[in-house]
Amino acid sequence: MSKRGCGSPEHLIHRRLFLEGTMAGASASAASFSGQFSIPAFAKTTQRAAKKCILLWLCGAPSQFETWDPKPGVETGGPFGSIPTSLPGVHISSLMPQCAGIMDKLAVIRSMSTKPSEHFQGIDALTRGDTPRPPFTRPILGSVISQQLGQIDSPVPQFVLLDPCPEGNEFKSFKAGNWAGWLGAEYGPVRAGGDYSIPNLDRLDSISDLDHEDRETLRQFLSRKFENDQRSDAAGALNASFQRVRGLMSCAPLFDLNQLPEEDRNRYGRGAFSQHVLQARHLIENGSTFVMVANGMPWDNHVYQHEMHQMLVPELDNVLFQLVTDLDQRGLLEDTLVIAMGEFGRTPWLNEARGRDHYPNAWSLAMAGGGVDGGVVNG
Amino acid sequence: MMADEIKQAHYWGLVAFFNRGKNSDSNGTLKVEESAIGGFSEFADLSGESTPNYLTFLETETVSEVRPDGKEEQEDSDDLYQANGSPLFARVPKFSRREQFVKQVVRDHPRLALAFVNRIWAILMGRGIVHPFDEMDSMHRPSHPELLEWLAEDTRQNHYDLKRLVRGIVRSQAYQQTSVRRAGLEDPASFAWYLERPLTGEQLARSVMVALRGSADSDVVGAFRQQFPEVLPETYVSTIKDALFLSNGSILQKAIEESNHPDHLIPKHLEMESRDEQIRSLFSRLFCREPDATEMEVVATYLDARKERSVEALQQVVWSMITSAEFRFNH
Repeated sequence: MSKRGCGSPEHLIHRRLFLEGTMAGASASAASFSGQFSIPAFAKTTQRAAKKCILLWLCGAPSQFETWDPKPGVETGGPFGSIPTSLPGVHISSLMPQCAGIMDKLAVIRSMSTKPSEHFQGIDALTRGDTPRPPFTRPILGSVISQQLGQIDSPVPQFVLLDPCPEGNEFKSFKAGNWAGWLGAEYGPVRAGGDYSIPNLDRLDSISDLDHEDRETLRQFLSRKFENDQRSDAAGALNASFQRVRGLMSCAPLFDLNQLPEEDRNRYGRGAFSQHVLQARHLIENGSTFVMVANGMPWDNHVYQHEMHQMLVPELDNVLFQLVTDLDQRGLLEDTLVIAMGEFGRTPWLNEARGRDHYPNAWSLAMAGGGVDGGVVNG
Repeated sequence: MMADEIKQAHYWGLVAFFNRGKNSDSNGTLKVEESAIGGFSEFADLSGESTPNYLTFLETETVSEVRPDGKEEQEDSDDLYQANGSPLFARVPKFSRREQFVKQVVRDHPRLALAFVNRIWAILMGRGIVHPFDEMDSMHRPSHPELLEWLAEDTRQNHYDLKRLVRGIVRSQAYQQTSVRRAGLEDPASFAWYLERPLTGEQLARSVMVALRGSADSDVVGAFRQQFPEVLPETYVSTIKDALFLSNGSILQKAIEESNHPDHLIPKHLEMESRDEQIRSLFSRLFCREPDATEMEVVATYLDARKERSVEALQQVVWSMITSAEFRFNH
C-alpha cells in the first residue's frame, strides 16, 4: 500500500468525483453516471478539456493476484513472483514488467469491492453503474460519456465497441442488450472488430451519392412518421441507426487498420485485442469520445488459471504500456482516461481444477491519464 | 437460475443424466447410443468432502438407481438393454438415464407449466410475464404472478393443450390492444399496448419478396437470417450494421433490381399512368393502408424529380418503404 504526492486539494476532489462516477457499482450509489456528471463544476471542467476515455474491458474478470496485487510466497499465491516497479515499495506481478516501468503514470485501485458475483450482473453493475431499475434500462458508461462529453453532430462515432466478434461470442447476451438505455439508441456504440473493418461502409455503384442521400431522407420521413404516430421506441432505435449511416460512411478510412503504420501494429502485437487497442488510440486521436475494447470473455479462468493468465497478462501488459506511452508522447494522456478492468476479481484460493473462481469482495483495476494522478496505489 | 440456487449436486446430477451417451456409427449410420453401465463418480466440495453424483435435477426428487459398491466392476451385457430394438436405431438400456431425465421434466415438474405458458405468452405478446422469458429465477419476477399461476394451472389441468392456451391469449383484451402507445404509458410489462416487435430475419426476407414478387420464395433468407439472427429478443436493438446492410449491401439492392418480371411490383407500377394511382397502390401493397396527403406529395416530388430515370426512382422509393419502421415491425 502506498501513495505518492496526491497533488492539490482540487485534484483530490476531482479524482473523488470521478471515482464515484466510474465505480458507483462499488458504492451502491443510487445516482446514474449522468447524475454524477451533472455536478456542474465537474461537467464544465471535463467539457472544456474535451475528455475522452478508452476502456479496456477485461471480460470474464482477471485475477488481481496475477496482475496488480501479487501475493507471492503464500500457498495459493500461484507460481508467479512479484517485481518492483518505478514506484519505490510497490510490487506488481512479474507477468507485467512493462507496466512496472510506468507505474508512475498509473493509478491502481486494489480495494475494489462490489456485490454481484456472476458475470452478467457484474458487467451490468460495473458498466451501467448500478443494479437494474426496471422498467428503465440504465445506459452503459460509454453511452453516458459520449452523450455528456461527445459531439453528437460529429460524423466520427463517439462511442465505439471493438471486439473480435462484436455481435456474438460468450458475452453475447450482454452485447445483445440495450446499451444506450434511457438515453436512446443514438447513443449506442458503433460496433466493429474481427476483421478490423465495418462491412457495407461503401456506397454501391448502382446509386449516385445524391440519390443515396435523398433516398435516406425519404426513408426517414416515412419511418419517423410511424415512430411518432405509434410513439414507438423500437422505431426510434431503428431510425437512429439509419441516421448514422452517412456520417459513418464519411469516416470509413478510420476503421481501416491497414492504413496504420506496420511498425505500430507490430509494437502493439498482432493479436485481435492488441490490434483493437491500437485502433482505439487511432479513433480517440481522430475524434471519438469513448472506445471500449473487449476481447470476448477470455479471463474467466476457472480451470488452469495460471496457464491462461500466463498467456493473457503479458498481452495486457504490453498493450497497456504501449497505449499509455503513446498517448503520453502525443500529448493526449492528460485528456484521455484509460481504464483496464473486469467485472470482479478471482478467489484467493484455488479450486480443484487449479482455477480461481469469481470473487467480487476485493479486486483490482488500473487507470491512467484523464486528469487522474499517476503513481497512486490505493488499497 | 442464479448460481446460488444451483447446488453442486444439480450440476453433477445433470452431467450424470447424460454421461452415458456416446456417438456410434454401427451399421453405417451415426447415432447417439446410451450405455447401461458406468457414469458413476463423486464430486468434492470446497472442504474436500465428496458426494456421489446422484441423478438429481432442480426441484424434483433424486432418481434412485443401483450404484456399484466401491471398486466393483460392472459388466455390460445384452440383458441390460431392451430386446425389441431395431437395428436402425441405437439400443436402449432398460434403465435409461436420459429417459429418466425426460420424465423428471415432463411429469409435472413444478416449473414446467409456468415455463410453458410464459414462453407462449412471450411469443404472442412480445415479452414474457417473466422477462426475459427464459430466465425464470429469483432475479426475474413475474409482472403478473397471479395471471402466470392461473394460466399455468389451467394448462396443467388441460394436459398442456396448446390450442386452448393460444386461443385464450389471443382472445384476451390484452392481446387485442392497439399498437399505438398512449401518452403516459411507459412500462411494457403493463401489457397496456400491443408491443411492436421486429420481423425475424426470415420473416423480413420473405416479406420483402412477397412485396417485390408476390411470392414468399426467397434466395436471400440465409443472408437476412445471418444479419438479423434474433428471434425473440429481450429488447429490440437496432445496430448501425443492420442499417448499413440494408443501405449499402448488395443483397437487398440485387433483390430489388432483379424483381423485373412484368408481374413484379416495380414493372407493374411503372406502367401506371397516374402518379396518384401509382403511389396509392404502392402504399396499399407495402403498408396495407392509404397514404396521407403529405406522404402523397413527398413521394410524388421524389418521383417527379427523377422522371428521366423512372426505374431507379421507383426502386429507391420501394427501398425507402421496405426499410422503414412500418415494414420492419409487426404492429
